[in-house]
Amino acid sequence: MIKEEHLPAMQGLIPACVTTCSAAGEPNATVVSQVWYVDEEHVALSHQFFNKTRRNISENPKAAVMIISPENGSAYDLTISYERTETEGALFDEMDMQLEAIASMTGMSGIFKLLGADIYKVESIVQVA
Amino acid sequence: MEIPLNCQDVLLNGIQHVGSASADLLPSQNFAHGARLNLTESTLTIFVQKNFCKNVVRDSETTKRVVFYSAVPSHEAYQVKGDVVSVAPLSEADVSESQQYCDQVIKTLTELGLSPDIPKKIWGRVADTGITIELEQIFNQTPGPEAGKPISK
Repeated sequence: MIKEEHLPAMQGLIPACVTTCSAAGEPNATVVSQVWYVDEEHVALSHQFFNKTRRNISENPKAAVMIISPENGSAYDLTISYERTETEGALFDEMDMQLEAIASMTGMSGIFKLLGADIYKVESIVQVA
Repeated sequence: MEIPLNCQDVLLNGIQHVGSASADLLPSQNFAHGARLNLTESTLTIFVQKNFCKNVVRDSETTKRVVFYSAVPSHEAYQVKGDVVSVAPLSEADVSESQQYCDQVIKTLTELGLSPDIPKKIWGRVADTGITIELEQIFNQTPGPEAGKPISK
């Protein structure tokens, strides 16, 4: 599912927009700092705040994520489905380190804090630009 | 509805996304290509290219509920939610407005260090359709303690 051409868009250089939807059909959009490659069928999204996105995926696991390659501007629309959250371990530690670097580069130290690595199964990837 | 000027500026000039959900609760989203606020009528018209945003346009015509998110490089961001009032072709004036918005986004991102070819992949197109929503609620989405709080009623 996830191919080499998608990987530059998962380097965390360009924030990704995530749209979720409540069980009642109310959409919600936000930005996440990281869409992290886990394996060919999974990505991890940085869970930085307790917010509407978290509530929505607890009701309805589907989400749409837009990622952009900083190398060539290609944009990919991912349909993903929430599976679990990791709050420790190698994946969490790697994402935490990168998030600290992103926060430092963008003046968000002390505001960006990784609470968990949300693991999603990738159901489809469509190149939109 | 009263909207602070800084919020209006971010809504109209930030990097804009429009999101929706289908009847079977599948979310969709894409980039918007400008927007127009009508404070008298408390509406926001979101400029989109129909082929580029076909799922969002489809949902706008069926479930009639849309979310609009706009952020600037400083991280200041706002989200607007509202019911869809109409989905219609843009006027010439709005197409021109969309063109100006896209040109400005390309200029801004180029000044931030991106090669112009990169933003042109997304913003090198002009909107043809307007999704007009009622300005029901605007939420602060700037990372920090105020995130998620409504800024207007």
